Amino acid sequence: MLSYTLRRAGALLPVLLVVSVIIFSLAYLTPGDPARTTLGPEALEVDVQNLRDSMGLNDPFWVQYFRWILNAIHGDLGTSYFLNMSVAEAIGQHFLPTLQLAVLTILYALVISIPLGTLAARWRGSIFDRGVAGFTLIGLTFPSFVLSLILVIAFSVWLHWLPVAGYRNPFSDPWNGMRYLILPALSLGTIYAAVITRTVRASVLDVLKSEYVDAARSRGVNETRLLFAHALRNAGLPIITMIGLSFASLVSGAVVAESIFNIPGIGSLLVNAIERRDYPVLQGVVLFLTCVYLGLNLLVDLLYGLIDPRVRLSDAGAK
Amino acid sequence: MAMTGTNDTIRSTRGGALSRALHNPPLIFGFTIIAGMAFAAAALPHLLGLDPLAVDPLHRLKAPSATHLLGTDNFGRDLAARILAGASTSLRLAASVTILAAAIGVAVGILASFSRLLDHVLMRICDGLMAIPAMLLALALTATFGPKFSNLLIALVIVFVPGIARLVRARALALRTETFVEAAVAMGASNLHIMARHIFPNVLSVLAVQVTFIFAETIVIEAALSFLGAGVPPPAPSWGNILYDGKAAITKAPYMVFFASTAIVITVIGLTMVGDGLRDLVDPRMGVRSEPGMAKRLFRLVLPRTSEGER
Amino acid sequence: MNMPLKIENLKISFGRGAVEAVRDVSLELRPGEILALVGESGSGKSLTARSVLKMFPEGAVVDGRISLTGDNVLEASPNDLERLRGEAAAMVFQEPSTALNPVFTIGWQIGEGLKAHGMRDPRERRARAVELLRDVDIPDPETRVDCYPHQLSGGQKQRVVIAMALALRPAVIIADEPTTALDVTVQAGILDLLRRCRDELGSSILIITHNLGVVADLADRVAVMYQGRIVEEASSTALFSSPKADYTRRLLAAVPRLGQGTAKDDNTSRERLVLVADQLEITYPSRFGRTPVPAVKSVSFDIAAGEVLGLVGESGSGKSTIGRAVVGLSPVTGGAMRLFGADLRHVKGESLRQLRRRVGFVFQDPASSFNRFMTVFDCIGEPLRVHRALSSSSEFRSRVLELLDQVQLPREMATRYPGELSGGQRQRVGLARALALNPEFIVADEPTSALDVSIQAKVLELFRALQKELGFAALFISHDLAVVEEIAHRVGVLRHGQLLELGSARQVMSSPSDDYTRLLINSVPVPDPLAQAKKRMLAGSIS
Repeated sequence: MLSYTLRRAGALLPVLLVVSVIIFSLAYLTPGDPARTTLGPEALEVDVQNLRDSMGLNDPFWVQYFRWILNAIHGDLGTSYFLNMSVAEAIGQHFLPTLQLAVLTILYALVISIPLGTLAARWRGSIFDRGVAGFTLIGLTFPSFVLSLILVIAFSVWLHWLPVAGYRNPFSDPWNGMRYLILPALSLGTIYAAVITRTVRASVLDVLKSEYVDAARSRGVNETRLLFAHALRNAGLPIITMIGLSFASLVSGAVVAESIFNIPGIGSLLVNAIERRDYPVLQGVVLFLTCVYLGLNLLVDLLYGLIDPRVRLSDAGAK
Repeated sequence: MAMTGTNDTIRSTRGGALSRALHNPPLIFGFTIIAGMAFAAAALPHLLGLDPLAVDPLHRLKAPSATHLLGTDNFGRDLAARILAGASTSLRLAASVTILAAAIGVAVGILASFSRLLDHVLMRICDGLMAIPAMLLALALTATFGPKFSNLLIALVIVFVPGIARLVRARALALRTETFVEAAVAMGASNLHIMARHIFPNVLSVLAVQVTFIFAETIVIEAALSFLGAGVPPPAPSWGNILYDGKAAITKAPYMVFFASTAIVITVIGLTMVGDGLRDLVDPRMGVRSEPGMAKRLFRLVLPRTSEGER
Repeated sequence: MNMPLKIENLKISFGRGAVEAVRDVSLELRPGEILALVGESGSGKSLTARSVLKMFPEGAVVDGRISLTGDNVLEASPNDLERLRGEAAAMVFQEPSTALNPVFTIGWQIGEGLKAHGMRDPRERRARAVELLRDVDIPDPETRVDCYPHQLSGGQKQRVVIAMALALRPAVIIADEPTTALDVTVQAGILDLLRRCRDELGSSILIITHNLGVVADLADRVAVMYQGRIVEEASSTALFSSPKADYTRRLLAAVPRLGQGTAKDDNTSRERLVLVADQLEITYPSRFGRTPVPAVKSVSFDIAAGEVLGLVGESGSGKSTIGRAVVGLSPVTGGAMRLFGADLRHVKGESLRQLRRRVGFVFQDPASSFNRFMTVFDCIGEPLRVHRALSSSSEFRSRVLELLDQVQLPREMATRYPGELSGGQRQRVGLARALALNPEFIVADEPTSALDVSIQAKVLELFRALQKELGFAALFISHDLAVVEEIAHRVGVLRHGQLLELGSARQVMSSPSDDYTRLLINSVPVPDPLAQAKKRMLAGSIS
């Protein structure tokens, strides 16, 4: 299992390398002069050139890249042009709301999707199954930001139940904190839940059709147990894969949702950085979120090994 | 060479595919939606004399009426005109992105499946691009290139090419181990023959489905980018821009958000149907064996049960 | 007498008034009896067997009465059904690798059935699982009980499945093609085990099979099913000696029999050799970090013009690898393989293409060996097109139609797609494709193992007739000794990548010199109960 873990983690290194080159070259290719931006339009050309030299902007591409990536490995992602703080600090400050939103979203999505998908598979073709199909259709055809806006119109503009936008920290003010987070989590999580529900249903159905389930049934094992012991465990592999893959859409969705609901999270940081052409922040945030995404997928890979003995044990044999 | 034989069979293949397409309601229905949308976007503004950019400061945020069918926006522009123009923007962009991304993706994928070295280099780049969540990559790219229609196009092509390339490559490599390809190898067929007669038709079928979903995704991402201010630059009409304006006026004129959202959702539903229909069409075997697609089940929700679903 | 199992007027159909898969089947299984239900694919035998435990595919409409140790299965409540399943009747499945859940240990899976029937104590369940594994001759059961299915061999997995069936000492065991997925030598062991279940535990066994050898070896009584009906029911000895129904007679005639004197002597001239393998070695490139194991080790043989060489072996013997190497689908890594005098190790590009032009290849699975976007016409004509063999389209067309005639398929089939054809028809198309360029040499890799016996017999007959008529040399690869004996002039026996024996078909089959060949021949059950019983006793007295 340890060597499996190391190998999966090792496989990420080349990807990370390519990702960092891509992200760095994006900023490198960007029109505009960071030195000029920092000093303002009235600065003298000599000063700008001096700053360029001291910032290392006159060095060749690869030298700049290695300086950047070495700093990044040490946690130094540069300094924001506008925020008077380092990029790492900015990310740290904006991380908590995003994390809260993400956790709430995933919890909501899993709590909804796993029972819905499993039961839809169990009662295939029933009214319940059709209802679930309708629900997943909403999730698959409504972009999350469209759903957000519609939910805002319904719950905030018409019903006045929930605030239109904003953020309170749920740790210091649980009641209001949750009131502000419910709509973003609901709109993001519904999309996520729909995708997972569909996968759960399809993979549970697949397992229920398999011969080992028939074999267990022929031994007198009852249907409930078949569903929960066999189907859910075996269906776990595709389900977990799907959850891992949807982290990407969760990240994308969170960026938009934060901007819609004015949540001061990483997404807002990113959108503001784009508006202000704050490239160090843009670069840092994209790198950071990509690393988080890759890290979560590594976690998924490891869960894979835990569930499937073939992955785990064939590895032990290879040593 | 054996032209008649080839022609005969091609004709019969096409005949078969066409008649199966006609018996595929999701495909027909979805296609009708998209074609209708495209036609409306192209023809209606001229016919009705609508101008999406005409500002009317006296009639701002007016609710739907006889003169302004869908009302006006915060600059007093006609919302119907803007949504139709937005459709034209979205569909043009999505079509261009899809065609370019598919062409480049197929080329890259097939190249990679030919050469080991090229495979390693190309696929590492694809992995890297795919590791960045699509939205982030699109944001980063448009931020770098600057908000312009052509830049948006390039950015989205870059976002979608890796996925197609990987799919094509995986499919091509898998096909190479299939018995019918081995049979062709064993009879002495050249690489070119195998590519053209065996790999390409089989890849195409998967690709057709994938491309439809990319079309839909492009529309969504464009709307999201414009909504965030990183897509089509205002005042050019686009669904994302309308949503952006609509969000600012959400308490006064919720219908702006509502109409623009409806346009996006209908288009996505139409495309999902086309995708599901195509999937059934290109692989009849899979269609029978696998679960009915999303769109098919939508039909089941609306229409009376078919005998197939009964138990 | 109280019958353990009684099926009365069972009817199974799908959809409204649609296909009747099982029509009015009545059967009785007596205490301590082994009843074989025989039939080809689509005869409804598996459906009938599964209905004993009320396990129907979705959409089945069922009518009739099934009484299992006195309970009516079809009207049993879910609770009763759970009790009956495993306790009154248990099932052994065809494919042991899919009948075991890959993510649980075998001990857990055996215990699951025990738990469902009220054994609460986990230690007791484990002890019972170990005991059961010992009963079915799994070596070292205390350790194996914690194994996952993928850590066992195919034969061991099937033993585990049988152990699970035995767990609650059911009155009836239903074995659905229990040896079809296994090699012959392994099959013999499983058949012995099933016989012991009856002899030692007194279970009644309903065995479903298409293999008449298995029937002769095991069954007391036989019911023959054809198109959903039972066409004949008789004691095993009576059925084999004097079959009454037409279908049974045809079936028995179609079965290839080992050692029935059809084996040919080797009298082809060895002047012109088509294929020569000299100390052939084939090693696939290994995965990272593993030492590569050769699939074929120092194998030498040759095939003369017009001669058919049969290669026999069980799974993993390297027989297919050798066949694939002939056309360059597997790499020759050591020794030499000369096709028409050219060493395949060094031939590349255009000259390899020209060599391939002179060889036809028939694949095992006719379903996957055709591109489903191409019509039968295009499939058969593909070699002609690839090598630009015929200049005019009318010649092309008439050649393809001629090939269809040769493999005895109607010309109308040209416009159909392979997916619309039956297995036997598809294999004929495969043969036509292999013959398109008038090859001097044909490699046939298990060409009939995916087919039913009666269809296999026709395809083999066709192959033999074509070989005689066109005079091509052939490498015929099969796991079935009887099939090879019918077709081949000379036979080679492979095991673990090594050629153990090579000689004329008659010599290898009647007086094998190698122990493994003898084991292989002895493991094949003869489709004749008396002969098979004698053979079994003989084998028993030797070992």
